[in-house]
Amino acid sequence: MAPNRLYFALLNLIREPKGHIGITILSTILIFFISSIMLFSGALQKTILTALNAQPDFVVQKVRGEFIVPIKKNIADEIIEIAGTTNVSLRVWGRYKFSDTQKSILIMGIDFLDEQSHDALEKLVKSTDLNSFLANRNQIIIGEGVAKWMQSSKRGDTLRLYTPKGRAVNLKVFQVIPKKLNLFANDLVIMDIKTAQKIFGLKRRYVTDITFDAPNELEWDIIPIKVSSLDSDLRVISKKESRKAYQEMFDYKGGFFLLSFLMVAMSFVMLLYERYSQVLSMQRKSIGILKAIGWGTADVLIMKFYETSIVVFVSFVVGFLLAWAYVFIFDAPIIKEIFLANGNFELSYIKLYSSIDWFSITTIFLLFAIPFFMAVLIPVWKIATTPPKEAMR
Amino acid sequence: MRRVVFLQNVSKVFKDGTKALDNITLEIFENEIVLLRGISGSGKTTLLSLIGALDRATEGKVEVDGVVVSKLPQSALEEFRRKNVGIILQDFGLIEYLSVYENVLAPLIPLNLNKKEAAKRVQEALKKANISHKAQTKAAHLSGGEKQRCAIARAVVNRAKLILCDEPSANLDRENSKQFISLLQELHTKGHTIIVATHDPIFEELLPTARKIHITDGKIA
Repeated sequence: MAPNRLYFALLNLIREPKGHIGITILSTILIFFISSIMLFSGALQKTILTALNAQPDFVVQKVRGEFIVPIKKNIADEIIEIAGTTNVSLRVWGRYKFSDTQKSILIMGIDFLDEQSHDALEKLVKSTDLNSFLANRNQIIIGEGVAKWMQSSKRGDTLRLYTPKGRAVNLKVFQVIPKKLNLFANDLVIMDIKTAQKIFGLKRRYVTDITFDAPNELEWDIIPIKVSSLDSDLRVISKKESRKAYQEMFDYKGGFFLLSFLMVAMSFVMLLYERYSQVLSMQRKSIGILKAIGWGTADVLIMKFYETSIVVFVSFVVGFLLAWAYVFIFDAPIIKEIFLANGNFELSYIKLYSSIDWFSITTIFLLFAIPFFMAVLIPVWKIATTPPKEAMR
Repeated sequence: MRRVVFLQNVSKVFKDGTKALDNITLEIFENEIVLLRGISGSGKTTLLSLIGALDRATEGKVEVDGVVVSKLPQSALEEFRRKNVGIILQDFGLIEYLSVYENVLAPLIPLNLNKKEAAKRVQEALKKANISHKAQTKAAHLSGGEKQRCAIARAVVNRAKLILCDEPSANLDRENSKQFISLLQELHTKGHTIIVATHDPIFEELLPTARKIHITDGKIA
């Protein structure tokens, strides 16, 4: 390597590392902490929005006095008649709680012979051997979380549920839902709609909701109005609204996160300034010597800029890579517990989509690097412009 | 003989109002050894700083090697210093955590020389100061005598003809001071002009032919 200022910066770091090691470790921890949260929240957002995209375009429920009540199946026939609607499906779903373990599962009853407006369910139905599955009405398809729980609680391959009248229904596991749908399928138990009606004590002509698609997005505003006109108690929820609600939640969390980051970063800068003041007071003499033997102020600043760049780059890359491994390889323990603590089943079954948001990475880098450079270069500039004899004292 | 240093009516007043130099006029010629003598605070180090372009005169003209350094802008002053002046600092001013080779290389960094040329100059300087055998030793691990040699090598690595020494024997015993003076004599025989600011009588004793300039209260006595 040519003996230039970069070479000299490297020499300084290699020969006198003790002044920089503490700062590099501290910075790496900060970047790891911030990046872990950012990567986790980004991946969670992507996972949720991906799952949301697979949802039906509209869900229709009947609401009375703020409570969701069963809806008559024949409403579905009326929805089919509305121009622009397609894939109208019936669903019976709800939470079922096991009083002995306080665990709960999400029961989803569908008509496997209907076309599904929910993309993921459609894929599931298509990949299922319906002849075998429907041969026995009491067969179920379960999420991996449920499977693990059944295994650990020694329930074998049969789940015993009770109707509101106390009649036991034994449900045999037919298959486990593919892992990539796990965020929504983790505690899910899918079964034939009639079995679900039995478990929830619903009459045959009632379901909990009706779903449908509307391929032309231009009609998305008018269709809910038409559906609501069928019955004033009907509530129509569009996928767009859900997506918007999630997006707003993430934006809000993102803003909150940014504010927290700024506060952490400010404390970090103060700490850094304090720490570098000590380091620079030790380096004051070296800077004075360099000035005396012919170095200019710019030479000193450039050398220190390189030195700082190396510390910033190493801290950022190491901190970020550790965060990436923590979130996507080790599945973000602790953070996952904090973010998703209200899930019923083991969180380790939820697999996050790897997602990298370059804007956030750049923001973190700039918010980290700029104050870092300022904390170093301003005091260096002050020393470098002092007469060498004074600096060496 | 060629004039290397010329100071004309030079004064230096510090920010706090202290008058360090008062109307100094002085000429130093090529291949001279000059001893700036005087007690601490007499102004000899300040005079050396002005000749070495480390500081600026408040008044008067400072000319080194034909260049009026007192009129140069800051960047040109730095450029001038790195190419034309070799400085041996008090306590030798070595960077303790760097090796002898790296200390000697340091003045060449801003010159942006290629690797081969820089290595050639460093080897040449180490040889001149007779310290090549310690090239890879850290400055912190050198003896007093070895530190002197390293400082001399660093002062000549930029091939400057003018060498300035600021109280070089301040922390040396008599034996090491003698060695140092003998090295200065070697440099002198190789054509360097040497100016030493010192109040140590050993220099007068061992360099009887050197020109002595006595400074008292910022004036040439």
